[in-house]
Amino acid sequence: MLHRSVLPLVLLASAASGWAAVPPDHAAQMMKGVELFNRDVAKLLTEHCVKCHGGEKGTKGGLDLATREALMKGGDEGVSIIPGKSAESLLVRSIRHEEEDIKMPKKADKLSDADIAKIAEWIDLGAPYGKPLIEGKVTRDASLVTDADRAWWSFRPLAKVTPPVPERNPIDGFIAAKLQEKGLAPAASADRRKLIRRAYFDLIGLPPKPEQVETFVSDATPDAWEKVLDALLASPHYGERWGRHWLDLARYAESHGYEQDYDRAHAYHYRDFVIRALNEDLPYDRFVQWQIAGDELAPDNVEAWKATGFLAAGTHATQITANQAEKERYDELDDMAATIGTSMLGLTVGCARCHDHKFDPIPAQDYYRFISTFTKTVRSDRDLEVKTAEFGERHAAWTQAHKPLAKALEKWERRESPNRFETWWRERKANSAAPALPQPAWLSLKAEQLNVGGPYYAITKHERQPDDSYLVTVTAGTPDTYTFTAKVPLAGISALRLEGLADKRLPGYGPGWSTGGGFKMKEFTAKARVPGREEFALKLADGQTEWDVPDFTATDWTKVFRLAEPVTLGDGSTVTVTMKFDGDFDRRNIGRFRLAISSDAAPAETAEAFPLKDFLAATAESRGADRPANDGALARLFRTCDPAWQQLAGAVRDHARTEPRPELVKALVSSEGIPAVRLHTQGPDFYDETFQLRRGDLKQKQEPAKPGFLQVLSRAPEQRWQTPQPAGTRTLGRRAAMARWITDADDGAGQLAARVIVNRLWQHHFGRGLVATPSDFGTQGDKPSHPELLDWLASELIRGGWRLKPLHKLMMRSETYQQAVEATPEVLAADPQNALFTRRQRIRLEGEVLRDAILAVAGTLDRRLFGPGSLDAAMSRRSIYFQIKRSQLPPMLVTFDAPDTLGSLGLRSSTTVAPQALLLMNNAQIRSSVRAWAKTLAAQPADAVVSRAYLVALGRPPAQDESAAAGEFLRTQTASYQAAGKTDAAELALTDFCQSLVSLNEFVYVE
Amino acid sequence: MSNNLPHHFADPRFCSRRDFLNRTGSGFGMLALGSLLGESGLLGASAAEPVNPLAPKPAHLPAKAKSVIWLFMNGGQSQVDTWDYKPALEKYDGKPLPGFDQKTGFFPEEVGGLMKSPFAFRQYGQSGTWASEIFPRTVEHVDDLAFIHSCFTETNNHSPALFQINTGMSRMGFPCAGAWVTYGLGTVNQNLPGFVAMYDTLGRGLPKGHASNWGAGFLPGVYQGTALNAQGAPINNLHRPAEMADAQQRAQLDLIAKLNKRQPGADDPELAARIESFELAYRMQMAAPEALDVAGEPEHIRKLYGIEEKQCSHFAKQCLMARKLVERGVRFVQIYSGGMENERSWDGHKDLEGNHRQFAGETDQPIAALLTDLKQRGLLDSTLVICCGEFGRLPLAQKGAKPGRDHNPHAFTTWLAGGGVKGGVHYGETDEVGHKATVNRVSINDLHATILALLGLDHEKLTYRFNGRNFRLTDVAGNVVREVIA
Repeated sequence: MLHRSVLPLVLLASAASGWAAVPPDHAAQMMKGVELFNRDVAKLLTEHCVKCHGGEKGTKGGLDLATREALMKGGDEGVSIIPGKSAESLLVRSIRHEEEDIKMPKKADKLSDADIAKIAEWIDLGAPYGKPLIEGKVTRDASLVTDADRAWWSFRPLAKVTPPVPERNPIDGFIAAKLQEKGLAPAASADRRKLIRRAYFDLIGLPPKPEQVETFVSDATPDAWEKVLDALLASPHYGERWGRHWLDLARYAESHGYEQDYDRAHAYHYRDFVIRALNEDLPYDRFVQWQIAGDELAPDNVEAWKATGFLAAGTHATQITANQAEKERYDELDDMAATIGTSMLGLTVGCARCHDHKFDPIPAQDYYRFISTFTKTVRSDRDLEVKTAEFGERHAAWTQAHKPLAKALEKWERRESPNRFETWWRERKANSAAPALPQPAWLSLKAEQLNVGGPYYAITKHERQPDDSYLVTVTAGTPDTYTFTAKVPLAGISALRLEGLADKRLPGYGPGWSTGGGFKMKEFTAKARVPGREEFALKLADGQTEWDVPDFTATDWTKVFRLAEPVTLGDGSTVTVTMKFDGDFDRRNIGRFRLAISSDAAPAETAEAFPLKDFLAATAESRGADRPANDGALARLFRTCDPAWQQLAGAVRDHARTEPRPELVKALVSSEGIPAVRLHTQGPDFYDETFQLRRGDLKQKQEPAKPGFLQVLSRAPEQRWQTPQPAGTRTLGRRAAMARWITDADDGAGQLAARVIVNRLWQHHFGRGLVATPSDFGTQGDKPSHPELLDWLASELIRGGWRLKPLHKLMMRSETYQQAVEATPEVLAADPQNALFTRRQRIRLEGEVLRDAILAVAGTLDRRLFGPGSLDAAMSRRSIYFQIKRSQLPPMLVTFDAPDTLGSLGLRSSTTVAPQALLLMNNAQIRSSVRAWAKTLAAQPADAVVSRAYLVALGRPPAQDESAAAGEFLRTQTASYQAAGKTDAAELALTDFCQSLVSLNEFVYVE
Repeated sequence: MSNNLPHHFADPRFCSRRDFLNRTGSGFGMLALGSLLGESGLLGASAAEPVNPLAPKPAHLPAKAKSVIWLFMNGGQSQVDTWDYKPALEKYDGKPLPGFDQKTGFFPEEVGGLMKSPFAFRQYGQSGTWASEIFPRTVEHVDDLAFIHSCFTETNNHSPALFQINTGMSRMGFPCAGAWVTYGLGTVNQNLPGFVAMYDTLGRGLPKGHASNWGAGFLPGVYQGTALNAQGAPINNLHRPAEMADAQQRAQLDLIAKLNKRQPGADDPELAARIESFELAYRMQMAAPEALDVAGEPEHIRKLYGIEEKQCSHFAKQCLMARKLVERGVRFVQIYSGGMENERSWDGHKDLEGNHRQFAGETDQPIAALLTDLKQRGLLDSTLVICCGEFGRLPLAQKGAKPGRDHNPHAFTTWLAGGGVKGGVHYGETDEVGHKATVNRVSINDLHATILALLGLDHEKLTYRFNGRNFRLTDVAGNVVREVIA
């Protein structure tokens, strides 16, 4: 395929826009062209052209032939060459003297036909330059990426590698090959007690129970190890352990950071998505895709929506002044792009914000095209419908029960209604005195004009529903004022009615826009305009119009505003209702509402409304001579007021209200066209366009950036990933395109993405990545220690459908993984960094794992999965369920190098500092855990306490000297506490002993 | 390999951890060992020779200042009411400021006319420094202070401005100056944290952005500031469990050491360091409470700082602690005056006069006492004292029953004193009304470069590699203000 072979030439690849024109043998042609250039063309151009066009005499006619880029720009006369089409190229036409005004070279002899033919052929081959024609003159267009750039190891396609020693685990073959080069031998195998401990901490982050250790130690079957691995990979705790690694990369936290560090109460669903996805071995490509565009790629999948919490996890300023708003927005776009780059591609995309990337081939143009993918992407708390099987059953049952009611109504309307109307009409025509036109209690209003707005950059839409209600959709800001104007030519108006109606398109099913579907109206006023009269207020009997509808009712609400005295409005009159909602902070506006008016002296508050418009039409029909149609306004009015119909329709309506609804889960997601989480900002939530900026400076806006990808990782035209969105689609499809590109292992960034993730797996299993800079695969990062192994693993991942669990198993089944820590002095000298994996590296437990292990050993660990996190340092669930509040990170975890959550982190520090020892010695939670453990141990026979404690904490029985030391300690420490007058001296001494065990290096480090 | 290391770790002069152990025996203090497996220090955990990341390290250049005490006037002190005297404001009082951008401050709708300072100004000291009446004691030290009147920042809101002055970047997530300095120089007393931050103890909140203001960002966590808890024990886990006496904890630590040492590989540098860390922790339990105890100070010292004065007692205690900490070799101390915002800090949106009188009253005596005390102990020469807020305030009134002043990113005054600072100097100028820095403008990067230079650190050489890039406190800018250096 094109560009697969890397040309060691100064070829300049065409820009992204030129992709379509590139012929399949492009590379070969260009190579030929360079040969021709070097042999003949360079000399010809230098001798006959360059002096005046790019050389000492300047660039006459604006044409510069010194470099290809300059040549391609053309001159004052326009395009000078068209690669592949010499006959149409101005340059050729002018040296052939085919142009009347331009006969080149000027004031010199025409070139020989042979020389002209060479130049023409060169242009037909694409006009490549071997080098600039004037030394030192480089006008390389920095916005382009060249094949030379693509030659960097991590940008190259995966090498097709065959494992060196087919009969072994391929990993061992690759590792052994390097060792043989250096004449080194691998370390011996670790013993089984150490191995099972290693596997448990590696895969689930918890120590094995003594019984699990003994089972494995005594299991003589050949697949004993495999059984352990399978069990651990199937454990739900696997996702908790490996999810935490990913959360480091995702800069995951549950608060906004900055000024107030407000909580993100619904952010934890992203954490749960990560755990669940890993447990289910969701293919890694889909795992990545969903985090970028799950809402677009799988809109019906709740987990895919939750995955977009990845984009939302960065910090967000919660108090933004008008002057800062746009800058903050660019910072936010940068956060999304940089996090994707670092975590998924191992590239520092963010460096190109202010200038072309100094080291990696990421032009600033690529950067702005990349971030413009997220131009309208906002974080939003969204209700997701969880449709369980149980719900499906309940809903089916409801549908079953609803059918006969609907059918009865339909049947009555079809059979009964026309007859009754017929009778009534005849009677009415026969007797001019009676019966009168039916009068519905409420007449619903149709808006002549409806404005929804507010001072907070509100972006809203509203849509009239068939029942005369209006659905207001908010996509940004906090609208707080509704103005509704309707024609009302009625006499004796006595009351106005506002209904808030439940709707599945609203948060929590509405009826309002607050996070739980409530609303808070602060004021309701109405005024009337009558022709020939000044506008006047409709005075309400009760001036107190505040209405606070609580969250989570998901039902219809009604409020009636009686007028102080009846008012009569004639033809051409209008009523304008103004509703003000609480918009100070959160949205509290009404979502779906219906306004109705009554001329009834005492209308029933909840009676069904009839459209005023239809009522007026019915009135007109009633004055006619002919019997109106059965589906006309008058027939409907008559029917609506018929008690029989009311009964049937009421039954349908009442039953409709009992329709089961799926459980709603509110999750922090990222998408477009849905309302942004909005805090104290004086600016909009997003800007319609992302501009390319000079030096990252907002005052130096250039052209708007068109969404795109990194050229260096694109081997096909961008249309391959960009599919046009159907008109009216809520989202822009840009993120979906990026998701496809980033996981496209043929022509997009997928091969790099695969390299990066297998390296991360390796890193956590072996203590060091094959690439030691796991989030920097660019030119400033380290090169892989075992490039073939890395490429082979990445290929295996792709070949296996991007599933991670088989890769874990592959790695852990290798002898390399199972080595002991101990190494000979020769090995230590030859491989001090363990870059050749000559032995096992001791790994200090992360803070989370250390804490979880202590709780597990103490028997106080609550192993329930998922759900909201806790800030309580004393909670007993796994550490991944701490609420990660950026200003209050769990102190114990921070002491042990937990990430600051402000940026993507691929490699934690592992420090040894006194505060860690202080924590193990004095921390109240640790002390209470070991005390609980001591209480349970105390139930053991006295001579078994020490060995049981060793088995539980360290997975091995104590050696003789350890038993002796422990026994001696327990005796003297008990005596010491007794002497101090403690009544629970023995338990305290045992507590101290237990605390000592979990403080040991053997506990804190895993071999 | 070595080009991936932060410069200190790559320098052969810095002893390996094992050398360190051998040379200092058991007498050394807090051993903060790190295999520091950040991207910067790709040291293999066991085979490499980890060094103590907090061990004292030589500066790039000889310098007088060894420690820093940064007095942070949180919320934004008004320059024109403190150290940047603007007589023209009396002339223009009540008049609009032509060409003023309404969105300069936080409340565009409340912009009033120019407002003269409610405070009386006069000249003090040999230097004839103009100063407001609200610092009656600090003004006695003006000849030791170097004033930079032309500081400016880039954002008009607390949190980003706080991040900018502390970390050089208005975005969250970068290491603060204290972390950079501790990374660059280590710290002398290993029994105490190298970098201590103190915030309001009267329950008025933390500065906006909270702990990120003293965070280490992507630097290893050992360099982050230890914030003293406002209530309860000042440092977490400093006190042993209540049921345990010293003898019992000692016996427990002896057991841990004994069991640790019998394990194969116990002499591995990292494992040995962890064994030692328990001894260090044991000593910290004693050293830290002693250093933070102000009750035991002699009466005349307590009186000097104003420990018994109701208005300034809280800040006095913190200043006295700061002196004790630098005396014991702590590298960097930062104290925040005022809580989160508005009336709880120097953020005088309403009633500027009352606000600034109050906070000057809380800080004037303790700050003056700190300067006096450092001087009389011979510590001022080696201690750099910095005083400023995150931005200045507008020379215009913010309308209200009692007028205030809104945020002003364009100008504020910073004073420096002590270690290597030229006293009595005034550098840079603002315009006639004190709205914008005009002459010899000093950016935050410049200010940081100058602070580092006073400590002997070259801001262009103090770098740390993270996610593929060499970061600096001063990003890609910064000029040292030589004029304030003696």
